[in-house]
Parts: sequence; structure tokens; C-alpha cells
Amino acid sequence: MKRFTRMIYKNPDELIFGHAKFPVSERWDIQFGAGYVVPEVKVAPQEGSEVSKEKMVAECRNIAQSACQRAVSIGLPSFMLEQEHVFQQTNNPEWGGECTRIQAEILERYYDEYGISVALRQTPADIRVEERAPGLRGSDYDNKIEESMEACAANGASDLCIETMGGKSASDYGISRGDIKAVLFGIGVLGSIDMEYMWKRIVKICQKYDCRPGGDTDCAQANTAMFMAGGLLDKDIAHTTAALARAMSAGRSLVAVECGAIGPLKDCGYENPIVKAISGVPIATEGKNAVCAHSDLMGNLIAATTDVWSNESVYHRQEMGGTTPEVWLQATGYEAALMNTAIETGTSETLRDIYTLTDKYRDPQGLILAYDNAYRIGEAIVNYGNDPYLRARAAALEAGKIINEAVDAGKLYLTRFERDSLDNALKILEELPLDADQFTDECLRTYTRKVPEFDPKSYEL
Amino acid sequence: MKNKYGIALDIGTSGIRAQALDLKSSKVISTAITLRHPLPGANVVDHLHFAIEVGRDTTHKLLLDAINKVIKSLNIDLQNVTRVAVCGNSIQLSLFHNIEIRDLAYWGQHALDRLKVTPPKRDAIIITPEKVDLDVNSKAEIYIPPAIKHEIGADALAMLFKADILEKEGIFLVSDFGTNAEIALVINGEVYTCSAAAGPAIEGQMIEKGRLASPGTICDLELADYAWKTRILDDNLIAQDGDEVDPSNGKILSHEEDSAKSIGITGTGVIAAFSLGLDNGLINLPKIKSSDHQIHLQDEMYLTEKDIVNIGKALGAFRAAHLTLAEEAGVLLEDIDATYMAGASGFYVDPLKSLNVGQIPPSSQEIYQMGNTSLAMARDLIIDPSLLEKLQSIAKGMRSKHIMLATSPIFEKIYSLELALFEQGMPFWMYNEWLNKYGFQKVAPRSTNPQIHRIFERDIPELGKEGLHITKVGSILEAKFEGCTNCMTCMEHCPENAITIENGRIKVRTDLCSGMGCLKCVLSCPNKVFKYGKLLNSEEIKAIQIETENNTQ
Amino acid sequence: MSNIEELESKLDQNFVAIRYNVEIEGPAIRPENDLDVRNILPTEEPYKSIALAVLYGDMEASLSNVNDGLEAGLSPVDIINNGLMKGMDAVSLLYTKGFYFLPDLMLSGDSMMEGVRVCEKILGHKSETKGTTVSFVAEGDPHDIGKNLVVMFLRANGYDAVDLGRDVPTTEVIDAVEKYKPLLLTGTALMTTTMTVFPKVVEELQKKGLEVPAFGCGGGSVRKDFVESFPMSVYGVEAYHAPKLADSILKDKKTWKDLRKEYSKIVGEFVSEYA
Ligand code: B12
Ligand code: SF4
Ligand code: SF4
Repeated sequence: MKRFTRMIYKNPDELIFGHAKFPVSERWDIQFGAGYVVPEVKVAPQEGSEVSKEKMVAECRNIAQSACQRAVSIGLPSFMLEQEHVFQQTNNPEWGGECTRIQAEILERYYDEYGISVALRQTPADIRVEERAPGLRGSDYDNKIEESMEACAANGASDLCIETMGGKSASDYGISRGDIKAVLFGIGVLGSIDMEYMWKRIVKICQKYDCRPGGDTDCAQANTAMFMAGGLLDKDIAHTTAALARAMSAGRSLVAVECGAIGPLKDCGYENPIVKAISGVPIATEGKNAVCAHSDLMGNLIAATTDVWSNESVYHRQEMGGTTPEVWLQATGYEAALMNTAIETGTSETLRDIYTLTDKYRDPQGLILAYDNAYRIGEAIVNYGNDPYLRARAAALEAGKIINEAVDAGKLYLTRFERDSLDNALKILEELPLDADQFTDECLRTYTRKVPEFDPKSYEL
Repeated sequence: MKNKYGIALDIGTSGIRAQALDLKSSKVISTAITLRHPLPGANVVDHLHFAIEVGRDTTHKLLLDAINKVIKSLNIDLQNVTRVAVCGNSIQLSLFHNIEIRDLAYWGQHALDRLKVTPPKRDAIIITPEKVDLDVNSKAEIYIPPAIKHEIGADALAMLFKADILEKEGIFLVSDFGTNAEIALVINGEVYTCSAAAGPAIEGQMIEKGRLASPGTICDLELADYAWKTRILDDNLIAQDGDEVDPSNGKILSHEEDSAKSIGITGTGVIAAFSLGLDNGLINLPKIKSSDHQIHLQDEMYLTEKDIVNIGKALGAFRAAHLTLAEEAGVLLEDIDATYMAGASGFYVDPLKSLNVGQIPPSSQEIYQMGNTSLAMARDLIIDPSLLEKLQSIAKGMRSKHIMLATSPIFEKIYSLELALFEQGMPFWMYNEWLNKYGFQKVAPRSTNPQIHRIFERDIPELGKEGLHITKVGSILEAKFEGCTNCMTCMEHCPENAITIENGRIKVRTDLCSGMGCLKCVLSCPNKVFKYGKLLNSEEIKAIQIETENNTQ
Repeated sequence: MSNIEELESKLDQNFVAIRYNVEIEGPAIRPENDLDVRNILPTEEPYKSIALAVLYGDMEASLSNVNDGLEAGLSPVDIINNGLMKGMDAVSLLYTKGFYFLPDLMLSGDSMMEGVRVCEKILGHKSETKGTTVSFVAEGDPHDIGKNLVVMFLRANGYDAVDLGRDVPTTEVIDAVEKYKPLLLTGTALMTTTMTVFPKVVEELQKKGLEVPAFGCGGGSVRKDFVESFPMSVYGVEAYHAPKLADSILKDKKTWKDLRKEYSKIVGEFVSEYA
């Protein structure tokens, strides 16, 4: 496997929405990162639909149908439908396959009828349970994920994604206690190991079909940190700590690309701008139009480098303006239209910069993802590109540096909690060993004892 | 043949509880309790101080008068009682046994050397009723279980014994929450104990509107939208719904017709207010963020910022003690397999709130509410007297691992953090950072899904077919002070209306008087003649009078 | 200037996003950057580093800075007055501002005292202080946290505070008064069984014909009416009041009678117990 030791982008200013160094095309005449932004919609099946395959399939059909209908009603040139599996869809691969088949059929009908460019992303759930023997590798659940991937690819998915959970046991422990070492171990070391295990298999499956390997997000870890950090007034974990976790996650999510994923990377990976800067693949992101799913502090900024603009997730139900697939596709669709207008009128850089500036100094988490800073973190990562541990550590240190510079320049002020947490974390990170094996040994000793769910065998350690 | 009986007795700092058992069937026949301690004062030091002032014999007599009254109301023929088992802390058992107490009243060597005090052993012992003037068959045996060590009394032994963890693999935390918390950390059978003097706020004292748990007191609060629903103890000490009140201004949002009028707030009620207040931001330590800086509850009950700081300092003593034990034993509190809460307040408090305010480690996953384990162990002793010997050997085996918080630098450091937290409003994250800086473990985050095991419905599981009897206790202390001008100043200054003056004799009701922590009578006397220590039990006075009359004859 | 920098220069950040957490709590600044602290801290080296080590409660740095200063030939008195004490002044200030808390105070206090000890060793005698005070915890009482605070505040404010410890027999207190002739005697008791030694101390002092300007009595169980039931004493409420009481005795020749009457005024704040 080839690691990234050099930046594909040579200049941060080239990072912009709708454009990627390596655009991706998929089956129904759609391209990503090829000069326009694609809106995405993703809707979770209603509660109760998981009781039977029939209900689930019907539910997925309705979601696809609503989305397509609204897309043509408001004149969208293109859109992506993503179906994120609930447990039953992945655990019963034939359910997932059937749902995919029906959705692909509908999309194809609209493609045939209206010429609208469409894509169907299937995202099986990571249903593995680390603390249940035999752990993350080789369990029934693990096998089911693989079967489900194959079923989706075979039944018409145009790309596949997943949100893997590797390392979560350790990082959860670290995040809830402000133990930055555990966070680094969970994301940088364990997360990267598990990604490799998972993605080599996914890429192999995709190669058999007309299906692209999309990407993976560190939702399980960096987003956990972001959600626990919460709003400006919350104090469960410092936003500076969450920012460091985010920087680390870029090193981890990059592994999917190194294994052969080509994008667009998965929407809830807020670290995607960094991965894009390093690898040149198109990315999906989400922000202000994902408020139905969660709150973040960079709702505009994260659009600045996007290629696919998503709503993250919403339950399938009725709103005053229509069903949720209709409503939320319309929201992302209009935002994509704004970006595409900027591209066509040669004002995209200005829009990108405006997006960026609305949130750059709102919170340290947004600051480090502003495209110029994302680029810097990318550089720190490729500097240690061959070593997943060292590159995650370097990413965090660079993020710390970026925050400190903004503070020194009087552009961003921190509270004492954020300040002290950052100082403590950076001090610990700086003093860590420069040898990955030594770090891993130390962590194995500490965290196998402290984190009962953590199972070194799941990572072949 | 007549039935033979046993009596199980628990002498607690806040009251006496007794149960009669049928020795043949081992069944509880009846239960009698008091709602307060017969001695003036609210905590063990008050009781000790009282004993030192008025004399051990008088104190012993007041206590036994009360106990005799209690067992009388058990409704059995006391002549058929052949076994009595008594449990309680070292102080109460020493007062019962009428042995040395001064070693418990002072700390360190100096006072004890000066007073030439030799601390008694407090081992397990069997005594006769005559020895303590207990009104049961004179041939009965009285079992007194051993103390673990000094002030770690038989009550602590009881909670460990009843939790049944001494022979189990794993890490267990057992605490009896009272004014003086007995705490034990048991690691694969190895026991680390300590005693944390949390303070009377835990029992609702030293709180402006606080009161010991009794009918009409607010014992819990629940969230009802943005209002707080009051839970009030009824005449049978069962919690009932009260009004729903907006805590920031006292507005009643929903009135409960059948609710008793509340007359005070118990310690568990204060903890509930503290927990809810922290959650909804009404409390921002050390401040209350209402316009008048008070939290308002039903019937014009309220908590002040001072109350909040007081409860905080008491809760802080628990957390500091838990952390100290864990540090001394070299384990993490988050690795504890189960947490046991003993005693009445450990039973009636809502464990989720305890967890929220740090009374038990927030990471506690399995929580057991055990109820009154002292009484339970006394019952066990009645049924099987050979247990006494076993308890002695358990106590002996445990002696080496007692952690003296008074000399622990860990405790002092951590308690200072608690003071900073509750008195100065130091943020909790900083508290954790300090722990880290000192090289101690951090407080782990809240367990997401704690399991609560409440084995019985009441802290005393079975009341017996004759049911519960509440016995009123209290005696009158009396004296004539030389130089007293009958000016009544002492009477007017007594905050508890405990004093009456008749024919130049001062009479003090022990059940009303708050004792050595008060002494406003002594301090207010313009002629400096009120000597509390000169007060005598009026029975005794009668006896003395009769004696002198006899003599003159 | 790139596009984004130019746009940024036009933008008032608070127009689009306000960091309310920072608005409310104030931005984190290094303690040494607090304006009032800057006015206290010396600007010259090595006093500055010595003061900073105290400010950050860094015992090791404090010791090595002091030793460096001594080696460079500075006078121990200057090191104490211009370095260590200035650092502690800054700490006290941050404490009253609510920026520092009890543990900061304790750590800084220790760092300062260690430095003073080294200087006094060189000096060969105790350094010049504002005056001597004596503090104790009543016989039979282990509760010494409050007393430790009293001692620390007195020391931080330039007093030579003699600490007799806890469980101190009355005779030892009397001996210490005889020996040190303190400006202020402080007693702490947290148990009702032990606070009774206060009047006994006064009685014994009187028997010996000794007197102190004031005997400050405090601690959890102690109440004002109790303390005022015997002479020479004044009820102490907060540990940080102790140096203020001492100052008023030193500067304004106040007696225990004055202290009882003017407590609130002397400590410079509303004290409900004295209202
Ligand atoms: C911490 C604590 C302990 C610690 C003490 C650690 C230590 N090194 O000091 C430990 C756990 C060791 C302990 C032990 C005991 N304790 Co304890 N303890 C407490 C607790 C929780 C807090 C006391 C405290 O430190 N407060 C904070 C300090 C800073 O306050 P402070 O000393 O009063 O000082 C303040 C002011 O008074 C003022 N001040 C003090 N002196 C002076 C002087 C001057 C001149 C001035 C100006 C100001 C001033 O300055 C401070 C504020 O800035 C209290 C309960 C409570 N919630 O208050 C019980 C408490 C004091 N303890 C109590 C008891 C009974 C005991 C024990 C006897 C319990 C037992 N039976 O085992 C034992 C001691 C004897 C023994 N046999 O070992 C009782 C006393 C009851 C009474 N009526 O007398 C209390 C009230 C709790 C209770 N059970 O009711 N205890
Ligand atoms: S004033 Fe009243 S309550 Fe207080 S000690 Fe005297 S008799 Fe008891
Ligand atoms: S105050 Fe003193 S003099 Fe007056 S009635 Fe009471 S004891 Fe007698």
C-alpha cells in the first residue's frame, strides 16, 4: 500500500468547491469534483420499518421516489441519494440488496425519462462489536458487512461507503476524560489499522462491479468529540481538544484513499477538506443543511471545499413542505445551485472565501478546517506520511499551532478551559515517543487495563 | 412453654430502632423507633460533649431510659427476652455500655494524655442486663459487636457484613451516609476503611430550613417540566407527592390537594435541590441565580446560598474520602464493580442524584441501596449468637488497613479542591486538572446507564405483625443555679423553647434542646450562673431528694 | 494580499459570530499578562523570574532561580522583598479577583516559603517581617485546613507566622505567646468539644500576666457569641481576614475591643456575622 508522502494539491488556493484533482464519474452520467457541486439527500427509514424486509424495501422505495420527484420538480441537474443502513439492512444482506435494487431502479427510470444525473450511494452499517468475541475481525457481523457490501454493489449501488468504528473504545475513553493520549491511540493508531483491514476488502468488492469505493469518515471518533464538545457554552470537553481530535482523524480517514477509495468521501467526515488537500479526491461534506441531524459550528465554512453537499440524515416523515426527502433535497439542491452559479460566473473564489470567513473564527474547530489551515495540516501529515501514528500526532500539533497563532494575532479568543486544555494536550503530545511501536506498547499496557471494551486482538496487536 | 424473645437494637445518631423477634420462628414481631436521639444535639460530638459536661452516668441513664421506653412499646413480655443484640457506632455503643468515651471526643495524644484516658478495646462482648440497667429478663445475654477500629464502629462492620462482599472477587465501595460517613473500599476481600465527617448538612441540619427526616419534611424533588415536584414524608414516613413549584420564585404551578404542609427540608431533599439546581443552571456555584438568591420550595421553604455551600462541603467530604481511599489502595474509582449505599439516608436518597452531585462516584454502574444494616446485623446476632465470634475475627483481620483521613496529605489536598469548588466556584474541569496535577486519578464521567438495586421497600424491610410503633423520647434536666435572679433571659434566648423556669428551678427538655452546639442559654445569662453541666436528670434529682429526706429522717 | 485576507480585513468578526463563552468568562490570558499583575511584578531580572516561579507555583523553578540569584551575589533580603513577595502579592491579587483558587494559593505559598527558607539560611537569621503571629488548632482537634489557610495568608502578607500545628496543648500556646510576644494569636477549632479551650487559653494568659493585642478565634463550630463571652478575643470569619486584622493592630494600634466593634470596616467588606 502506498502512503501519501507528498501533497497532491500544491497550493491551498486551489482548494475549492466543485473541483477535485481527481474527479470521479459514476454510472448515471454523473461526475464529482469535475467543475460542479452535486447536492445529496439522505433519509433514514422510519422507526418500525425494520420489522420486516417488505416494510424496509417499501420504505426505501418511497424515499427514492420522493427525492427523484422533487429533484425534477425544482429542476435539479443532478443529485445523489444515499442510503445509510440500519442494523437490519446490513445484518440481512439480502434486505440491503433488495433495497438497493429498488432504489437503483427508480433512479434509473428518472435518469432515462428526464436525463437527470443521479448517483446511488449505499452505506452499510458497521455492526461489529469489539467487546464481543471474536471482536472486530472475523465475527459473523464482520462477515455480514462484507456480504452486504457485495449485495449492494451487485444490485446497482454506484458507490459504497462505510463509517468504521475501529479505535472507538479507546478514543471514547479519552474523549470523555480529556485524555489526549487515548484519543491519539484510538484515532491515529487503532483507527488507521482497522481502516486498512476494512478498506482493502471493500475496494476488492467494488472492483468486481460497476461501483466506486467512496470513502470513510471518522464519525465514530472525531464527531463524537465534536458532539460532546457541543455549543460554545458547553463544557464537557474543550473545543480545542475536539479540534485536535479532528486533525488526527484526517490521518486516519486518509487510509481509505490509500487502500483505493476514490471518493467522493463520505459526508460527515468534517476532516475531508484535509484529506482532499492531500489526496486530490472529491469529497462530500455537510454543514448548515444538516441541522436536521446535528449542530456544528462551521455550517458554511465546511462548504468551501465540498463537491457533494449533504443533509446528513433525517427520519422519513412528513414536514409542512413535503416529505423529508423532498424538503432536504431541496435545501441542499439550492445551496449547490448557489455554488454552481458562482463557478459559472467566475466568482467561486469569493463565495468560497465568504463561506470560510463566516465561521473561521467562530470556534477553533472551524478554524483548523478553513482551507488554508486544512492545507497546513495536510502538509504536517504527509511529512510523516508513512507512519499513521506520527502523522496523526503531527496533525494535532499543527492544529494546536494554528489555533495558537490565531490567538496571538488577536483573531480568536479562547476561554480558560479551552486554553488550559489545549496547553495540557500539546504538552503531552510533544512529549510522546517518536517511535510508533514504543507508543503502541505503552498504550497497550495502559488501555487494555483501563478500557474493558478494548481488545488488542481486533487490531492484531 | 412460653415463647422466648430476642430484641435487636440499633442506636443511631438520629434515633433508636428496636425490633422484637420470636426466637423459635426467627420472625419479627414488632418494631419501635424514635424520631430523634434522646440526648441533646445533632451529631456524635454533641452527644460526646454532653456526656463530658453532665457526666457519663447521667448520659448513660438518659440513653437507657429512652431505650427501656422503646423496648416497652415492642409489646412483648420483656421477662421472656433472653437475647438482646445492639449495634451502632463506637460512640453510641460506648454510651450504651457506659465505658470510656473521651478517646472519641478528642483527636491526637495531647488531650488524652492530659486527661489520662486509656482508650478501651471495644471488642465483641456479652454483658448482663444489670450492667446497663436494661429492663429485660436479668438472665438475658446482651451482645455487643466489635468496632473495626476506634471510631470505625460496629455500624461499619455491619454494612460490610451485610453487603456480603468480604469474600467476593472484585472492587466494591460501601458507604453509610450520615453526619459521619463510614466508608469502605473492598478489593478482592482486602478492606480499606475510613471515616469522613461530612457534617450535619447531610441530615438536613445546619441548613436554614433543614430538618431531620420526619413527617412533613420535603425529602425529594422531581423535575416536572421546568417546575419541581415536591415529595413530602407523610405520618408513616412514606414519601407522597406535594405541589409543583417554580424553584426560582416559589410560584405554585400545580397544587396537590392531599399534600401535607411542609415544615422543613431533609438532607436528601437538599441533595435533590442541589442536583436539579446544578442541572438546570439555577445553581452556579457558589451562587443561586434567582433574583433573591434563594431556591424556593413548597410552603415557603427555601434554600440559601449558604445552605448550598454547606451541603457542598459535606458532599465534598464524601468525594474526597472516596478518592483518597482509591488512591491509597491504588485502584481507579471507575473500576468499581458495585457501589453499596447503607443507612437511612443512603436508602431514601435518589441514587441518580447522588451520582450527579458526587456523593457516590459518578461512574458507579451497579448501585445497591441496602437500608439499615446495623439493625439487620443485630437481628442476625439474635438468630445466631455464634456470629459474634465470627464478627470479632473479621474485625481483627481488618484492622491494619484503616486510613486516617486526619493524617492523610491526599485527603487534605483533595478536600481543598472541594472547598475551592463549592465556596469559590472553581469550575469542575479545573478540579479535574488539579487532581491530574497532583498525580491523582481524575473523576471519571457519569455512567450512562447505572443500574439501581433497591432490595426492600423501606430501610427496615419487615416491621412484624404488630407493626411499627413510634416512641417519643426525652427527659427533663433540672437545676437550681446559685446566684440565679430568675430574670428569664436564658429562657428568652433559647431558640428551641426548651427551657421553663419554675420556682427558681431551670428545667430543660432534652428532646428539644440542641445541646453543646448551641448553649445560648449559658452565653446569654447576664449573671454567668447558667452552668449546663450542673443540670441533672430530674428522676435523679427526685432520687437524690428522697435519699436526703431519708437521711434526715 | 490574497483574496481571503483582503476580505478578512474588511470584516468585523463580531458582526457574524460572537463567542459568547469568551464574552462571559473573558478571554484566557496568562496570569502574568493581567494588567494589575503586571503592575506588581518586577520587570528586572532575576527578580522577574523569581516572582514568576511563585506566580506559577513552580517550586523547582523558584528554588533554582533563588539559588542563581544568590550565586550572582544578590542580597537575600532583596530576593525576598523584590522577587518572592512580589510574586505572592500577584497571587493574592489573582485570588481576590477569582482567577486563582485555593490550590493555586497553596502551591504558590509553598514555592514562596521554600525560597524564603533558602534566603534565610544565607542571611543567618529570620528576615525582616511586618511582625510575628502565632497560630494553633485547639487541643484534641485535627481539623487544620482552616488554620493552614490563616497561616498562609499571614505569610503571604509579610508576617512571620509561627505555626504551632494541631492538637496543641494550652501550655504550649502560653509558652509561645511568652516567647514570641505575637501581635496576633489565632486559634482554630471545629469541634464543640475542643473550642472550649479558647477561654482557658485566655484564663491562663491572664494568670501569667500575659496579654496579646488580639486573640482571633475561628473555625467551623465556633460562634461569635461564644467568642465574645470571654475577653481578649475576637471572632474570625474568613482566613484572609487574619492579615487585615494584624495590619490594623500594627498600623492603627487597634485592640481586641476595637476589632470586635469595627470588624467589617477593618476587613473592608460586609461580614454578615458582624452586621
Ligand atoms: C474536613 C473535615 C474533617 C477532616 C479534617 C482534615 C484536616 N486535616 O483538617 C477529617 C476527615 C480528618 C475529619 C475528622 C473528624 N471530624 Co471532621 N469535618 C471535616 C469537615 C467536612 C470540613 C471541615 C473543614 O475543613 N472546613 C474548611 C475549613 C477551611 O474551614 P475552617 O477550618 O472552619 O476555617 C474557616 C474559617 O473558620 C476561618 N478561620 C478558622 N480559624 C480562623 C482564625 C482566624 C483568626 C480567622 C480570621 C479565621 C479563621 O477560615 C476558614 C475560611 O476561610 C467538617 C464538616 C463541614 N461540612 O464543615 C467536619 C466536622 C468539623 N468534623 C466533625 C467531626 C465530629 C470529626 C471527627 C471527630 C469524626 C469522628 N467521629 O471520627 C473526626 C476527628 C476526630 C477523630 N477521632 O479522628 C464534626 C464536628 C461536630 C461538632 N459539633 O463538633 C464536623 C462539623 C462534621 C460533623 N460530623 O458534624 N474531619
Ligand atoms: S439555649 Fe436552649 S437549645 Fe440552646 S443549649 Fe440552651 S437549652 Fe439547649
Ligand atoms: S439567665 Fe441566668 S440569671 Fe437569668 S434566669 Fe437564666 S440562669 Fe437565671
